[in-house]
Amino acid sequence: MAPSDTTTTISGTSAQLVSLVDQAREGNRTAFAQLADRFHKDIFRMVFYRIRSRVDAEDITQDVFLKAYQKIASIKDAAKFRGWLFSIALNRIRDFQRKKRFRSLFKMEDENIESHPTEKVDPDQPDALGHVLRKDFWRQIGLILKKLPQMEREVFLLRFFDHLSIKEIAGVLKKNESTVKTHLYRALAKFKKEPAMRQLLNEIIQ
Amino acid sequence: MNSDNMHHLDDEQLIQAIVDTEDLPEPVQAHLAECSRCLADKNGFELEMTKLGQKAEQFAPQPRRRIILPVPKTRNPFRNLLDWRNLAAAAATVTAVFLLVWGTNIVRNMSEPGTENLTAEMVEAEKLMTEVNTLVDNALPPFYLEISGEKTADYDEEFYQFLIPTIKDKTVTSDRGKKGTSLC
Repeated sequence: MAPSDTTTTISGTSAQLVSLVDQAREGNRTAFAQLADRFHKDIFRMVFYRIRSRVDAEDITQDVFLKAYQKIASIKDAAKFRGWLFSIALNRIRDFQRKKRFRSLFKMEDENIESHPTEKVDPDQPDALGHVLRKDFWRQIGLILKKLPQMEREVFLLRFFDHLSIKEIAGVLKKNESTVKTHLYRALAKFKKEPAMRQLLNEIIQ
Repeated sequence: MNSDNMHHLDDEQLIQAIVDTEDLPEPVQAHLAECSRCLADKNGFELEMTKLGQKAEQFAPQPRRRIILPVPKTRNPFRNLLDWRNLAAAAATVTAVFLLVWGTNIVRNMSEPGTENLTAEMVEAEKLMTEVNTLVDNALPPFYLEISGEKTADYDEEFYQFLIPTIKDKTVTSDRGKKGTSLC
């Protein structure tokens, strides 16, 4: 079951987190390092889901935390730190995709960067089967997400992949909650009603 | 409200329930809470989405690199010197000193006499010195010189010898040692 809004809110606004953010805001480097440790995997995965390249995801994640470190003093509500971090990450991903699209114009690359994972699979590796399965999984995910318009895709990913609440998603995307719900509703309706989407979903989760 | 008295939730309502149950009308919410079939449909679809997210998490790689934060800058002792405000203050001070020195020189040059004035003063001084030298040679004005006959007088060596005779060395040596004589 998807994490409820209440659970996410409680974890997001825990006193410890707020305290760490407050300390980091006052220039405490150790406090920020703890925050980075806490959200490192979340942000890395969030980036990876959208660009599907580990190396690039690591670079962008590093960039996100660097940016957050520089701008931590500007955060108004310490309880919204997680959402703020996701917001930075989303902007970085957009920048990355924009640059990649621009480069692809000259390199004759496939412009749809989300449908092709860039990780190479070495058949001689001991976990070669795992690599193949992973590659196939991300290919299918790419096919599913390709069928969704950008906003619906983003809301869907933030809700079910990144486990953000509707309120947090609204904050990250700078939209009101009803708009977020509408996009989520449309995305879910496609999963529910479109046979091609259902088939892909069944293949993935079986 | 009895759930049996109401139709089961359709697809739209099920999706709406997943998005946010509270957005459903109250009777539908009540039915969902009581109807096991509708609840199972809703939970089933929601579970599919959750499984998708879980599988994505499972297939996502782990980050290999740690987050590196920038090293805090150590305080540079010369930082204050390089501060633009300090540099501007230093430049202003140097300019003020330069202007002061330059201005003082201009005022001094203006107060000092020019080259022409200096030459005229030197000529005047030379003239004065000539007059002084003339007075040293003969202090009497020309009128008194004429009356005194000094002007036309021609004194030769014999006259001076008469006035101041030369002392002979013999006399001096013979008188040496005698009582009442002395060498001047």
